[in-house]
Amino acid sequence: MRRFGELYDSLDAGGSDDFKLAALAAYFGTAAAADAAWALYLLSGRRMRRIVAPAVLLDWLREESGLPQWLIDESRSTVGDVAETIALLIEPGAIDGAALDLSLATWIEERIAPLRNAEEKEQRESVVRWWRSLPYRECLLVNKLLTGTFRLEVPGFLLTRALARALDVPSTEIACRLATDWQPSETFWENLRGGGRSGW
Amino acid sequence: MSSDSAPLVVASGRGLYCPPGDFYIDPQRPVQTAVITHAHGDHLRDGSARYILARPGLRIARMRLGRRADVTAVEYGAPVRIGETTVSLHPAGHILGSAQVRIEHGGRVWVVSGDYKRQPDPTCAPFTPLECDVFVSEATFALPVYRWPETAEVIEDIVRWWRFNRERRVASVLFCYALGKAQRVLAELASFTSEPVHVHDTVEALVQVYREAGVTMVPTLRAQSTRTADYAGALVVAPPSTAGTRWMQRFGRYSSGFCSGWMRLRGSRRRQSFDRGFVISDHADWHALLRTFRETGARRILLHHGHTDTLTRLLRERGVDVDALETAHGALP
Repeated sequence: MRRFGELYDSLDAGGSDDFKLAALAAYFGTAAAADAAWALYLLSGRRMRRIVAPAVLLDWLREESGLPQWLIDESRSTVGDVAETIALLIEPGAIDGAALDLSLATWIEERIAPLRNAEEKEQRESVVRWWRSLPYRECLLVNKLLTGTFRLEVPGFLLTRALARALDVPSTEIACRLATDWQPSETFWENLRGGGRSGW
Repeated sequence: MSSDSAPLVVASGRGLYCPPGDFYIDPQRPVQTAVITHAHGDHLRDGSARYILARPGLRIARMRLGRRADVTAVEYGAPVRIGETTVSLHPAGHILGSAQVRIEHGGRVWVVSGDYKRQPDPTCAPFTPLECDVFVSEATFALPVYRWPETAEVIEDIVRWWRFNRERRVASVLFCYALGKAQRVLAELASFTSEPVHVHDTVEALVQVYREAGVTMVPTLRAQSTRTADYAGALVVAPPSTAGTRWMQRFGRYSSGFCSGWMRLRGSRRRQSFDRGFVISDHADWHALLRTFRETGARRILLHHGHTDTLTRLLRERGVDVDALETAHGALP
């Protein structure tokens, strides 16, 4: 999650396309296949289903933090986003380096997605533990994935160019492949990379 | 004579005023006697007849006010008689020479914080909590969402960004306020590298003052060359006022970063046209404000510039005697 977090920092500012393109290409050129597939899925505007409602997370935050409701409301109004408000307000504990270093795909597939069918008590225990053991940026990302509110508007042409540069595949070919209905998986990524061209 | 309950500091059209001492603190217009908390442009303005400030800030104040200004530099903690009051200046931890103003009169003590922070800073003396009856505090970042990360983590992040750009043979231009923030970043960088950093002339002039004060920083080079190739992969520290100016053309393609407490919020990072926002502030964050109020033992808190409404409401709910003190000061983050 840390590596995806670093990419997120590079994309989530009002800076130049040149910098964003370089950051995307560096990530896609070195990330593991499953992580790259999930990153591409998220950055191309596809949404994960909501697992916990933002209002529920705010309830947990109020109970965990002991902050008055009006102060949480005021903070949220200033920040403008529930996932970020929680990441900023929660009292951080000791950082869990191993959790931080788990890959994006592992976080999504083995930690976040399985919570969909869990009881609320179990959901809350896991989520609060993550809040307290992750730094701000990764806490923010986990909250966004949990609430299905991950939105980072990376223009399509930037993604295509970055992929073309990282994978050494013509951008027109990348654009064609991305236009299909695809699901994030290692197989998808390997196909995109050209190793499984026959599958297209 | 002031009565026992008369305030030692009031807000006036010219800034904070001490009636029994007949002096102003960081006045916004010329006055007879100005006690200065620090040399940022919104706190130190020229035209006053007499200035009193902490000795470590003297060189910077002279650069701003000129040789002819009547400036008295006092040691931290040394009492000075002004009018009917005894005044002393104490470290505020904001920038080199920054001070809190302690005012004693009729057995009462008021302290005006000036801008301050509680994080360690290798470029200036650390904030000293002072026991007082009334603490007049800045409240620039008085919302609980403002919690500063460890400085070393942020500097590490800056170094990572620089290295990434260096691999691309692109300059990394880091915008920092020329006085205080720039020197703090250059000093913190010394823990990670001994490579030279290019700096704008405005930054370099102040770097020299800091070096003479004994502050260790990475080596600096004045960014005077106009050959783009000289900056390929280099780190450059420049004031935010240079962003978008012709001066930047010498760097050719470059990546930009901005150091400020305001970079704590995504919305602020996205609204600015920088590639990266780095959260480094010379102000107290929310938690440092609350901690400081406790440590002063003040029975009354007065707040000025910043999110005073939020902090006032919270402190009142906790039974603290608190009010907002309106001044015209803006704040440098």
